[in-house]
Amino acid sequence: MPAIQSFSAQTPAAQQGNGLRLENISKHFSASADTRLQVLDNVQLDIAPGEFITIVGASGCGKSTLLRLILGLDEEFDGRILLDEKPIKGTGLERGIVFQDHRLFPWLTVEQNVAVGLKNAPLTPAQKRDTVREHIHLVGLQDFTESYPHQISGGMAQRVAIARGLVNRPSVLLLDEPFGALDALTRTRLQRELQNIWQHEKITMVHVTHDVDEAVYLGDRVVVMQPHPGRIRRIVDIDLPRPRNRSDARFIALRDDVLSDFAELS
Amino acid sequence: MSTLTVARSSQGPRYRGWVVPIVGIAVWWLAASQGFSDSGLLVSPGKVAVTAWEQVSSGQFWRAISASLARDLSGFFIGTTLGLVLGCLLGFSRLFERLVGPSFNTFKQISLFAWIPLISVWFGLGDVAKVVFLSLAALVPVVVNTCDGLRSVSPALLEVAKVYGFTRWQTIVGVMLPAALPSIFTGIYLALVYSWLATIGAEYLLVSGEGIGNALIDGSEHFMMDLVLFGMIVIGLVGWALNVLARRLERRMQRLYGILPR
Amino acid sequence: MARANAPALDAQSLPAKKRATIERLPAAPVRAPRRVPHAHTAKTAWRSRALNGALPWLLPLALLGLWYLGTERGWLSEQVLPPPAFVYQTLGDLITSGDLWLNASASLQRVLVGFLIGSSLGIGLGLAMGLSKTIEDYLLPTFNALVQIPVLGWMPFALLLFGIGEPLKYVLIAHAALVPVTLCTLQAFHEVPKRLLEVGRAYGFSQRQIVTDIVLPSAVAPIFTGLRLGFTKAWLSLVVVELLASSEGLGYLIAYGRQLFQLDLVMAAVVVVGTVGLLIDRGFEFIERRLNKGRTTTTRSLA
Repeated sequence: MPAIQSFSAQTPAAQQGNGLRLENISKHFSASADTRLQVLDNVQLDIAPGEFITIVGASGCGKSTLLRLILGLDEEFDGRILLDEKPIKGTGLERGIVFQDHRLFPWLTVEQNVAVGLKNAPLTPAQKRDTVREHIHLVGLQDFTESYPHQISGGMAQRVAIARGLVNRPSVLLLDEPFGALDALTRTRLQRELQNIWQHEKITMVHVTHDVDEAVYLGDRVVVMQPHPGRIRRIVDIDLPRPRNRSDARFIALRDDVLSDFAELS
Repeated sequence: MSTLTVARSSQGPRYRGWVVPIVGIAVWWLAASQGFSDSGLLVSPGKVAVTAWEQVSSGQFWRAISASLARDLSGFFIGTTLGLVLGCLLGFSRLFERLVGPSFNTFKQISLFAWIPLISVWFGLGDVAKVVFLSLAALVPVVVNTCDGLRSVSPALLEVAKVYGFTRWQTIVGVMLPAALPSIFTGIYLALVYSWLATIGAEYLLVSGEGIGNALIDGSEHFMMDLVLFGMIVIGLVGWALNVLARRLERRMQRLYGILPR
Repeated sequence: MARANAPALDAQSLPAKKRATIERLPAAPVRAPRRVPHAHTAKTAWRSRALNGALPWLLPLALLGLWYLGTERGWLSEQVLPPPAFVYQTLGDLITSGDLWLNASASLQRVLVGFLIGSSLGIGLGLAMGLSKTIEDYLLPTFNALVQIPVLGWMPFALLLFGIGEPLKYVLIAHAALVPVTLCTLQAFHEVPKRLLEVGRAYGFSQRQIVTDIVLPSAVAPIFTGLRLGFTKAWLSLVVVELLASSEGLGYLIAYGRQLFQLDLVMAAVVVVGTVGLLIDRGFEFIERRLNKGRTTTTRSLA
């Protein structure tokens, strides 16, 4: 099945630059001398500043790998990744991440964990403290600043991770299945909160998930990826106003539309 | 953490645990007072208690135990410090680990006490030799556990450090050392235990000076069973105290990290 | 500690912030990637692997070289450190004269007998306490108390009771093995995964079936770990006991060499002690690894 791509007719008006562009991204693993596993094949994506992009796909479609490439944890790939017209090099504070496992440091309190994001930021200690407090407030955990990760629930820990990802005000926040390890009720709640935070902070977000419902609920555009090799199957515009209603007829239609892609592939 | 005991699993009545010791002591006392054996080895519990009192009040016991403990702690501190340095080097530098690691692993396989004769030739029989030996005993577990802890820092956390632009120094101090702390504490606790065990052994083998071990060997050479038994009780009490310490530390770790050190 | 749940957010409760005043941080200084990736050809891969394999030998070879130089140049007297050639020669002499075999077999025999006695008693005791809570109640506290006294602490007591002969060694080595084996066996019983026991109960297993079909199979691996530990302790105690009170054996060789200031003999014997201990430990480790496939190791802490 050839890859179909459709770009939205109009890209949102450019704001203060900071658009993310993926040009011809390809990556392969050499399992041995003569076998090559193509992980990503010619991925092209243009993300406008302030946009919320969700990427859906089954396991093995390379969506997490793609995030790691954007993040800079992995630098072996073909093609270019441009942030604000400049190619990225390694990791950088302008690209933040929220992992699926919250990856908070167990020996630090909530406040100290969020401060990790500002470790090397050029701010005075007072400014750092204020920003940290502000972001803890943003995720609603101001009563738990002195708690340790093992004392708070999984959902709360993930919020701390979100605060840490946002605290240095990156141009792009990457989210790698951030709610995958949480129960359904917490997940729904955090989806709503993430949406509120995004609307408030106006930071470009690239959100990877295997949950189609979540993808349609959160994204301006949904990028559907397919595996073997990993590539973009198509991009679906979600032209619905926020806050979105999961029972809305148009929402259901869009969701079923995206889901149909997976039914075909199985 | 290394605790030399296993906790009871059942909720049975606690007095049951006392039955065996009490019955045992009663039988012992009976046998001693009836003159069950005339080898002179069957001393009554009463005699042991009297000897204990004599030792404590005459100050002999205090001199012996403080000599032993002084050596023990010196060896422990030296060995632990060197061990931490070596362990950190092995943990942080892959090159160093390849160079020194295998040799160290081979070295630590050799039973510790096999080194005593060499040490006695090089350092004599006195306190210096003993402290050298004790440092060795303390060094090994510290190195092993420190290196182990540093090498098994979760790569997920290391990635976080990379994402936030931590310098190599910041990663070491801010991520690797805190993550390895439970292991390091295990190593230090083991060093305490091993150096205490080594203290007694050293006093048997390098026979000069004062100490609890010396007192024990003395007792056995002069057929003074009461002294031997008293010495054993003392050693047991020190071991028990170390055990209590370990449990305290373990609980502290758990409160701070929410995980049990392994 | 009760886990709390923070209240949900809605847009209204967030601190008001004007879009225009969001300041972005000054861009963090871009640091060049630390390692320059280079093309991995087959040749460079082979070379780096060869180098990697050679590294561990650098230190021992350097030390050996230093040792050799030291004795050549006379930095150290022969009493303090015999030349390496000497030690090697002594080792050869020991082998050819049959002395090595004589002493090594004496040591091995002792450790094997002691270990077998100690570990079988240990497993028996552990089994008894593990299967019957009553027995555990009566015996475990006393056992825990007696365990606080290390083997070395028992030695003068055993010396008085048994004299210097073979029984002394067997008793002490057996004791050294017994302690970790008993503890590991007991812990194996305590740590049978609850969820497996629940499966047994759900399927109406009788008490006996639970023991034979669930408890015992799951206890095999930790018990074996205990055996391995027990052997390590037994070997360690063997050396000490032989150093102190024996007339043959590897430990005796060490003590004898020391008395005669024949350090070459001492070092040769130390090498043998280390090698034998290592080989047997590796054997245990091999079996332990096969047994532990697919399990979480539980008793590494009882070192």
